[in-house]
Amino acid sequence: MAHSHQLLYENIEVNLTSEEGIRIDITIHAPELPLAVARKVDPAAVGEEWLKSLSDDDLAELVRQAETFVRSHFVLSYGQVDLVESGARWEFSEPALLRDPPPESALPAGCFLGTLWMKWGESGTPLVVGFDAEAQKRLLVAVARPASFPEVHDLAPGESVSLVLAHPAPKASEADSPPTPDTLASAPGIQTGVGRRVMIFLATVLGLGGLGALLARRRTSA
Amino acid sequence: MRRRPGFRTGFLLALVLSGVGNARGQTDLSLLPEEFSFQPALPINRVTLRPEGAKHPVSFYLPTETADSSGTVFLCQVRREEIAALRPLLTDSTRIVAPGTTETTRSVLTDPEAFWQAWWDERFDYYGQQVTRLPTRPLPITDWAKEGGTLEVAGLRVSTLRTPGVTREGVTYLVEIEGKKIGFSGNLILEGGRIPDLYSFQEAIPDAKVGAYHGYAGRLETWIDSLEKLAAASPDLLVPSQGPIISDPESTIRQAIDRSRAIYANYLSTNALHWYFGEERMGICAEKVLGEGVRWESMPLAEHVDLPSWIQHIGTTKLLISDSGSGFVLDVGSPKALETLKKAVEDGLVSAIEGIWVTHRHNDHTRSVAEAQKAFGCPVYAIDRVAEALVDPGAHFSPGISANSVREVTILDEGEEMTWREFRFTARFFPGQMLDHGGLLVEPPTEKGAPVFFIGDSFSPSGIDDYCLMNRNLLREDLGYLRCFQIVREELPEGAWLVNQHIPHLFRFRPDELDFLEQRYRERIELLRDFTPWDDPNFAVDEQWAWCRPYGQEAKAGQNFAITVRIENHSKQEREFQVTPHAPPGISWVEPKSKPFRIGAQQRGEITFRGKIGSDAGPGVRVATFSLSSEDLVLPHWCEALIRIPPP
Repeated sequence: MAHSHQLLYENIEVNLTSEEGIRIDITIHAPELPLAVARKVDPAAVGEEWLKSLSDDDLAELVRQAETFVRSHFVLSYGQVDLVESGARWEFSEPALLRDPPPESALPAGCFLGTLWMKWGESGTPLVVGFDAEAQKRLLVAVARPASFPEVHDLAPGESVSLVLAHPAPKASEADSPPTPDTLASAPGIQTGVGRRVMIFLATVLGLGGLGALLARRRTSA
Repeated sequence: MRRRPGFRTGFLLALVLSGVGNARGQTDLSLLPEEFSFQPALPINRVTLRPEGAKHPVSFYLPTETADSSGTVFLCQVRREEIAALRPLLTDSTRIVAPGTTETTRSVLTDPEAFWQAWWDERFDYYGQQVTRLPTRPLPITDWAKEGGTLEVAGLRVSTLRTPGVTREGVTYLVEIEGKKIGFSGNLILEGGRIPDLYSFQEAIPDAKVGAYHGYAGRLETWIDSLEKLAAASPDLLVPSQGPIISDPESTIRQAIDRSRAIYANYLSTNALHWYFGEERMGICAEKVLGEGVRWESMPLAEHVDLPSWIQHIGTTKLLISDSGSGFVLDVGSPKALETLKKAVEDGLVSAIEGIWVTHRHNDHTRSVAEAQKAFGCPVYAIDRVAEALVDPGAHFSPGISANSVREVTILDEGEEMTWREFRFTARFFPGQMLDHGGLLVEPPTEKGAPVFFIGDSFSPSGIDDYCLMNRNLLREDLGYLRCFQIVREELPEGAWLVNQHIPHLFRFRPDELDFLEQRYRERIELLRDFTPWDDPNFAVDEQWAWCRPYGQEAKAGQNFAITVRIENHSKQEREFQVTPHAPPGISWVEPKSKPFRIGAQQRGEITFRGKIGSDAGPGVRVATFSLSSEDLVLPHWCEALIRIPPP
């Protein structure tokens, strides 16, 4: 996927490749959480040993701080429903996995994932990702669609993006007609330029109506 | 005992000759107490006090005479050149007081071997950005100086102020003699309100969540606090470890603080980090150095647009896609990016990866290049300065260098063109974010849009990426950002876009924006010229103006080896350099022992030394050091190289 440098960007990955549901991962750069800041941990210089060196209590505190961070900095709404307010929960790993994440996660040093699963809604229902105006970094939202390049959205604090979601196509049809650059140009995952802007605009009009209020409410409740 | 003739001669010598102690003021000699013996010397001043009736003298930095070593020597900071100069003067009875303000300092003084053994591995992927001019042999410390502590020595009461800044561990000793309060402040501040160099100030700014790598002059806040604390102690004189005595501490301190703030405000005004961090974090950094509520300037973001469809953004990787369906990659910095590329091939999004261009040396751009080369069986391209670190990373020491070596790299010369599918590539030496940095101009067919210049990490829409001094952002017309400005202004096709590997946008500066960035940058060069004592400010921003290649190598017991000392003579005058190698235990030099050679103004020169590992040398990491001298420069044990002797 298109994970950007954790020192420069927050990273959210929206995975649309499973028919079972939508997986949203947020990468938490733990050296920037309050526990680490208070201990003057250098966010640029931590290695893999840093998370390993923390106690279970410290890791539990980092997870609590990560939950607070996520709630106060991001709003995700699917079809105008605020996912977190509606009961969806970010899941974080247990301490053992925070210390030793599986190699396939390919997480940068000092990072762990928060994951949110949700069921597919009506095809075309927009997923809106909103980013707190007082955030201290930019946000890269990377969308993984079946047989597509990562679709990336680079957001400054205060910006939001509305993603057009479509159910993954059955695998058999992918095998029948492998994509080519020409066909990819019209696939939903990599629309560019005017086409993408029009779709984003339409989805944004539909999806952003309540976002400002949601962000404001979230910030005060965090 | 007053040694006025010696003082005067030495002082005038320093006035006339000293590059590091290039004095711009005069000391009123009558201010010095009778007991005071001061010999300005390079690289470290010699200061000895002989209080009446005291059995043993008290020295700061270095004793004025070998016989004075029988007393107590106070050190203000832990720098190899200072300790190396002291070591030959020590006797069994010398009492050494050193800053014990950090655990790292204590351990590197008492057990440097542990540091260097660990450093063999830690030097890779390193983003701590601290100067490595640390001792290689232990020094027997009698007392550790700590904040607020006092020592009664030879009838003198020596009190310690913790004054970090140039170094993390720095301390100042205050002594009252003949009614005058004298501060021995080490390298904290030099005469004329200057500092020895700027690169030593690279440091994390935890409150702003800025790591050491992004912390340009990040220790300035601490340094200013130290100076304010020192000023509050109202010393009558400051005796630095380098250069002339400071006879007017208060105004010199004010001058130094003002200069540092001007430099930092200038840095903020051109900074690429505004794009990433926004106003709040940069504001925290600004307040820490410039003071609360001080207005600071930044350039509005330059025009930026979405990437065209033939460029895909994958982390710090960019993937070019040709009409044929094949791909060409720029940088592969993470396993995740590599997996995405592999999947793109598996899914048929690209038919093959046909080549990889590497923009620069940092591991977030190189870590997975070797694996990608294996996976795709494609050539890897880079400019020579990048290529040599890809093939033999252990031979180089620079921020974030990955240990993963690339089997084969095709070097593209400056301006060399190649065609890939429907695109024309031109390789450029683009010394922006770091000195060892390339750029790739990609010119697509007209219907695909304007040319795109892939600049690695050298600019963002808010300015220049010069936040890490260890990246060697040289302040020269031919090297560094001044060269980059020239390329961007004059040597790109009209309408060309820039693209940074981290940023999924194309961007370009208007002429007035380039004017702003370049004008401010040139102003900073002049500010640095006044703030540092060298004959060219590049010596003060370039930690590696003299460095060893290979930085690290393995050699077995009984084997020969070679180390080349490369020197970038930043002076605007030709210089004669003399390099003297120092052998660690178990190693001897074969040739040459020491040999002077000349390097032209702003040219690079080098000298190679050949050595042999003793047949009975035990395993472990040895540190060979090299002393440099050149007319007014005396720099003992200035640069180091690592030699690892593997177990038999």
